[in-house]
Amino acid sequence: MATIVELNDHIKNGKFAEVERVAHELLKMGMDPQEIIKDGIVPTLDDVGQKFSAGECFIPEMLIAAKSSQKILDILKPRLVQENYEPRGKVVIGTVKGDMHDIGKNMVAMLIESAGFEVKDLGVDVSSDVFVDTIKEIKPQVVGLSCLLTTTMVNMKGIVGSIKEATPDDDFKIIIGGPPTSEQFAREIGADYYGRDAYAGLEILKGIATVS
Amino acid sequence: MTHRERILAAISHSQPDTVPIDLGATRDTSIVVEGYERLKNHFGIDSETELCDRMMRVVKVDEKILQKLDIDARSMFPGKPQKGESKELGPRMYRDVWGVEREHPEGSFYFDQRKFPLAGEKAVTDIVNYQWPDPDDPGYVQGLKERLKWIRENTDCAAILTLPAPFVHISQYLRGFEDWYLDLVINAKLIETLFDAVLEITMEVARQELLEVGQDVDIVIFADDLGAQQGLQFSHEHYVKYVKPRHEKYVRQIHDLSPAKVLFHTCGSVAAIVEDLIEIGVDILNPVQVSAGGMDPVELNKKYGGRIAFWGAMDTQSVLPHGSVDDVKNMVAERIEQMGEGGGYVLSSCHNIQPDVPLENVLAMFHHAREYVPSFIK
Repeated sequence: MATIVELNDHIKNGKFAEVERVAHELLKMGMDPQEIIKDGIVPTLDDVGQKFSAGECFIPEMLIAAKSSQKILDILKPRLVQENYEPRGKVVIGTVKGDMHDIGKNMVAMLIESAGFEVKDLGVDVSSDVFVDTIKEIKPQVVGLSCLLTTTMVNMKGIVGSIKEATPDDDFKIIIGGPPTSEQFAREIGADYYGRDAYAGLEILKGIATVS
Repeated sequence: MTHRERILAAISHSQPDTVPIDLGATRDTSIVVEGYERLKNHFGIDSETELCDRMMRVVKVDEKILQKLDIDARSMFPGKPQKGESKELGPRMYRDVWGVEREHPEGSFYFDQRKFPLAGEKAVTDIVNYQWPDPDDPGYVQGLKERLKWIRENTDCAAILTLPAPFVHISQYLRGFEDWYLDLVINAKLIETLFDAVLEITMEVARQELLEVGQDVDIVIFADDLGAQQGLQFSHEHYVKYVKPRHEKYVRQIHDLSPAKVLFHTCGSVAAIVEDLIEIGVDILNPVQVSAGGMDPVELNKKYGGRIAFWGAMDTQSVLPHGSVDDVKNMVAERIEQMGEGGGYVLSSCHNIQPDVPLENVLAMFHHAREYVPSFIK
């Protein structure tokens, strides 16, 4: 008989076929899909995420856990739709104009989606116009901007400025992240938060979702 | 001391007359085109700009600039393969010799990967049957002897031979980063096949370069990034299992074919593997990315000084692009005090100098490195 503990283990070890099998079985056994997210995915991602932040596990392990969780979500989605599942919040995320790097951004996107947020991932090399149009269209609670290069930090600054100018009345928070960015840089460019790593980003998001 | 003697003293852990400095002796300590044009204008140089790395848009620095800045080392880059280094796919797009496609997006200063040829569902046979580049292409060694002769006859600087990146970089570009990381945990057989296929080629190119000039160069450099901002890209366990033995083989070949010191470039936080690098025969570590987690120059020098030399340590993520001239001068003085005593330190930027670094900061870094008299020399 499939158990949540079994699911927790398979999320970490990357046995994707087993992850899918157990998720299907749990549903068949009548477990509520929201419970599978709450007890199966969220605590496992918290555990791996905390270890990642502490330098006890690395990009491969974090990616494995995030990918496994995505596979479970794909199985749960039809049921969640049927049950009019309300996401914890909406997030728009992208790597800024001129920057093609997406490993960090993808990890954040997978993590927060697996933790119950609705994510609109705009990809890489995203202009301020695309950010602004998407924000106006889907009204997110949070916008996440990523960059890897010091030379695209200036584009990040420009995009934050454009977003704020184009959406003065909208109530959302901007989180930035990426190797060359910092708490201080976030303040300088008018972003609300700086996420030191993927898990730190998720923690900030949980805080925002709780408040709103 | 001649420039060469100064470098050789520093990397052999004896006190040079002043801390040696590098710009452009490697593909990872040079400058990106836009910043280089400012440097050329400043010195009134009108020579044509030539790249030493197309993807990073990094230049071969003009000899006159190297002399004006009193740089101690000179580059020796391999030649281009005769069958062509790359194929143009569009105005800002090309495919390299490995089959990796890159594009240069608007608003960026570099080329980035747009297509990873071995990404997605792949079998070991796909790796084996891939159209690999020819390591015996005579183009790679073309011009190396002449360049070395030129350095010896026209300068008194140390000569640094660049070898290909062994396998980490190239396999990531071929497989795509996400699949590459996942493979380490769930598809080791596939990724090890890829590592060995790439290593076989890069080791052969390296062997031919070393046979050509290895006996007479001062330093041999190779690069393979292993660090991320806060720690290694992958666990130490994975490093020891998959990377270290292959790098050890690569370094052993260098030591077998050349008396030169081995300089290894890896960006990011790599404090966790410095002991391993010493063990496999790396003599000098570049770039000592001081802005990354655990890369504190004082700590590194305390733990490993005297056993491995450091090359770099001028912060390119914060101080050089965003600091004032005084901030740059303070960084130069601080680093020389922290790492220069008794040799063991060559000063250069932590990575290629990016277009966001103001000209005055570039000049301040090199000028101050020459002007500053450290307390341990006074």
